[in-house]
Amino acid sequence: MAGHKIKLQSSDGDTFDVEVEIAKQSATIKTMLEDLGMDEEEDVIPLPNVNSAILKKVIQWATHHKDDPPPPEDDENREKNTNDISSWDQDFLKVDQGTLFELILAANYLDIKGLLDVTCKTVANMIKGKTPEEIRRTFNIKNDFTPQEEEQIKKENEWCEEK
Amino acid sequence: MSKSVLLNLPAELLYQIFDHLEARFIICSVRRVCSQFYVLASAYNRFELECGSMSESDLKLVSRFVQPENVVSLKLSTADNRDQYIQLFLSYFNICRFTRLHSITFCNVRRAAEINRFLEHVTSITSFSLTIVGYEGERDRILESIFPLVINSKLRKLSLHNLNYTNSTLPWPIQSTLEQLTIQDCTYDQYCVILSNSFQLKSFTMRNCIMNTIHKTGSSSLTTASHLAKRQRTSPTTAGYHQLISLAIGNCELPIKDLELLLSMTPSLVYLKLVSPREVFDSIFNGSYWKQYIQNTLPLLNKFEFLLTFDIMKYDGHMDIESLILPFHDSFWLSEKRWFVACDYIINRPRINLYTTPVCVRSEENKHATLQISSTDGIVHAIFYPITLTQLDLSRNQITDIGAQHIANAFRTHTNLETLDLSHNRIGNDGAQYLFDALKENKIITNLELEGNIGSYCTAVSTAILIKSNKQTHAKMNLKATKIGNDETRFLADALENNKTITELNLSNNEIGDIGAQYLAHALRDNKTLTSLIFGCDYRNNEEEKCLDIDWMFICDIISNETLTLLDLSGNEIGNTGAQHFATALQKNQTLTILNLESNRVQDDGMKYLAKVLENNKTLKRLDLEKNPSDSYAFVSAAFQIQNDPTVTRIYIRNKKITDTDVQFLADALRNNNTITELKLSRNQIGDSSIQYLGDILQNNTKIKTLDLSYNQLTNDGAKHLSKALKDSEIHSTIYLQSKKIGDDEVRFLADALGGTETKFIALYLSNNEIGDVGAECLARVLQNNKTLEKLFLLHNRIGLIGLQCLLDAFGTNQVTYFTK
Repeated sequence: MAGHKIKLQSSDGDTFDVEVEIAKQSATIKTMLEDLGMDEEEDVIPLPNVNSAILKKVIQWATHHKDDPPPPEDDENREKNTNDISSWDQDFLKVDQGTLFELILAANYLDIKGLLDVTCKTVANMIKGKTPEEIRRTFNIKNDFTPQEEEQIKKENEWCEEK
Repeated sequence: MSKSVLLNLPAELLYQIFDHLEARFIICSVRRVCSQFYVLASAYNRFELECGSMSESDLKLVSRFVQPENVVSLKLSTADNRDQYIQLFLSYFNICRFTRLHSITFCNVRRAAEINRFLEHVTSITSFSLTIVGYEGERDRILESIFPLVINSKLRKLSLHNLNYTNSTLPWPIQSTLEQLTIQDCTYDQYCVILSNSFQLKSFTMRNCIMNTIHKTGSSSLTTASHLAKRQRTSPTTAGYHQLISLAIGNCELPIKDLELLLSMTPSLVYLKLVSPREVFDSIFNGSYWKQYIQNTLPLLNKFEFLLTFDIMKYDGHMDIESLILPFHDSFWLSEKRWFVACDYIINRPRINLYTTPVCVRSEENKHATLQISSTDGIVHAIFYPITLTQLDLSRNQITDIGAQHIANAFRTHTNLETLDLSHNRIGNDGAQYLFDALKENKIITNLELEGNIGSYCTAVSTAILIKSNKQTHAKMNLKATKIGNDETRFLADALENNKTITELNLSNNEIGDIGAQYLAHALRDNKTLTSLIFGCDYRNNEEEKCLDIDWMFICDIISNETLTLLDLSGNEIGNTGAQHFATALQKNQTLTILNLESNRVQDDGMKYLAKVLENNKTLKRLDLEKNPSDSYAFVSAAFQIQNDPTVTRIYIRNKKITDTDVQFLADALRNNNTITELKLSRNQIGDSSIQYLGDILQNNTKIKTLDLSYNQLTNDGAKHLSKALKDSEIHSTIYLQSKKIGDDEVRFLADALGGTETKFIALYLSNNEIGDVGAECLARVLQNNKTLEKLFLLHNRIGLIGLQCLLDAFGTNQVTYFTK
């Protein structure tokens, strides 16, 4: 029932009390609880891939979204729409890039579909509409193509250039 | 600060990011960023092509770089009159190579032939879904194209949005691959046929199921469709279609009995979604009904989502959301199934929404004012959108006391709302009380409109909230004739206690009694702003009609707060005892300047109490006492004016039966007065002794220029006293002494006064008397030496020719106008 809590332990040893229903948004934790029978209050679930700062953010996100309907299992017809991020999520994800990528890693590890989806959408929005050079600048990526490769790609993409 | 960078993300996660990007963008931009992205983009195999929006050159570009095998989703549209688009697409792509497609979508295709041309090539795909949105062509033509595909391919999911399967002559194909089906509307019989012929169908989504006439009426005649259904049905309805585990009806209009029939055919349902606007408030809203039905008919159901709506205007009974939610507060719902239900009462519509949480259908109604209750806690919450609203209009709804209570709680600490309009609802006294209790500490709300509700407290509460806010723009608050009684006064008193803006409060013509007065007195004890309190009653037309009969002690308490300057208590029931209380209070008070006790019950004794106040009170300038059952009221009022109001220059007390005692009292008030210039006391009962008393005062008074003592009881002695006083006084201009009592003897005394060296009469009115020739001679004699008299009136006396001649002789040397008989 609501209110029952479990303890989550981050990679740096901090423990967080989280309501079971909130924690279960993570399919990884849900499986641990259900399949491994780790539902005793005293049990601490170790999450060695997530540090305290990120785990705190993840719990914050999950708490806000605890009443969301479960994401549809079948999303093959979904629109390529990245403009549907709620204003709360947009504010929540106004973080430095490092934190954003760590949230993606954590969402993937914890298997929280909603969080993974919204973080990936956020990164996609940062990429969208930019030229290759702008993408490099945004993410501090080095152009490692050799001049020959560069020429080759340019040739391949001449249709793009025409536009 | 984290050290993670984009390129360090595993490929699978980068692909998840790519999943949100268009194919052309991946090719033209992402692929050219760096070698790692180039490799990733080249190997990316989850392209979703939305070809409807692509130009031909883009289509050419994409066809060059994207291998059909790497496309998982294809969306084709023939919008914008590009009827040949599918043909164009097929010219760039080899349709047979789209082997990994799991989704094909056609949008706004007008002709079935277009779809058909495409679909005839895709039968080799192993398992895929087909979606058709916005098809505008002939329905059976598209079904003719699709049904062979359904039979011959491995179609797993078919979504026919905007497409009805009602009255179609095309039989639903028998097949064993279709798992999910979405259509718009279908008839009950065709629903049966689909279930009969789709052995693997697990999930069915439709907008509405339409009952055939046969099932509504119970008639034995069969429609063509039901005939078809019967013929094709592979298993009888009673056994049920166990393959279906998920059913969603998006706009169910079935009556409850028909819905029962429909659901009874699929006893293995695990998931049921029901969105249904209801025409009647039937048992579909009853949690106990559902509990029993699900236990008996749908034992495997583990997820039940619903949204049931009902327009309250169609309902005559009492709608109580707490009772409605109660059956869902049951272990079956909360523990066993863990289906949590909430109910919204949307005030503005008004409408009831009963739904499972999380909300299965997003509703625009979130923007309205809503009372919400959940089966998990059973507490009603009021929710208002947007949260930052400053004005909320909920007028002309059906809000009752309970609703008012919830609204009150919602705004107890709301920091934005300034105006809450609840006028023309059904709020009674309990509701008004809730509102007051909750909102009285909220300093933001200024206007709480409660007009047109049923509770008598409403006006007072509305006013009290305004007063509490200390933001009302008018310093005068008029609550005349607003049916305020004792209970209502409580709210006002509470609000007035610390008010800093209201200076005048009109509570006249209300129904405030002892208790109300007590509340007010208590509140105003500390109020230092209110200066005028109007507590009168002006509608008493006859003596039988009762006005306020309260213990005036409490009102006297109000006077003691030393702030009030005006107190209007006219038209009440103040008697002698009341007057005594006021007298006591006024003895100490030094602030009240106007006290209106008109039309009360104060008698002579009461007047004496009040008159005595003058000894100590120097501030009460006006004490209005008219229409009290005592003849003394006029002189008591006048005495206060004379003593305490330096702006008053004239005292007129005509025909008020003033007696000698009264005049003495008045004379005392005049003793030190320097402002009264006219004293008119005609047609009273002033006798000789009073004239003596008055004369003493006049001797030392230099301000009175007009003295009217006409038609009183003046006789010989009186004339003597008056003459003596006038003779010695310094300035007296005009004297009125018409009375029928003054004869020759009296005139002799008066003539004596006129002959005094100091007298400065300008006019002397002696008409309507008994003056004869002797009197006239006396007057004529003194007038010869008088230098100031300009007018002497002697009309209607008894003066004969001798007297007249004397007067004429005397006037010959003066410029005096005279009148005689």
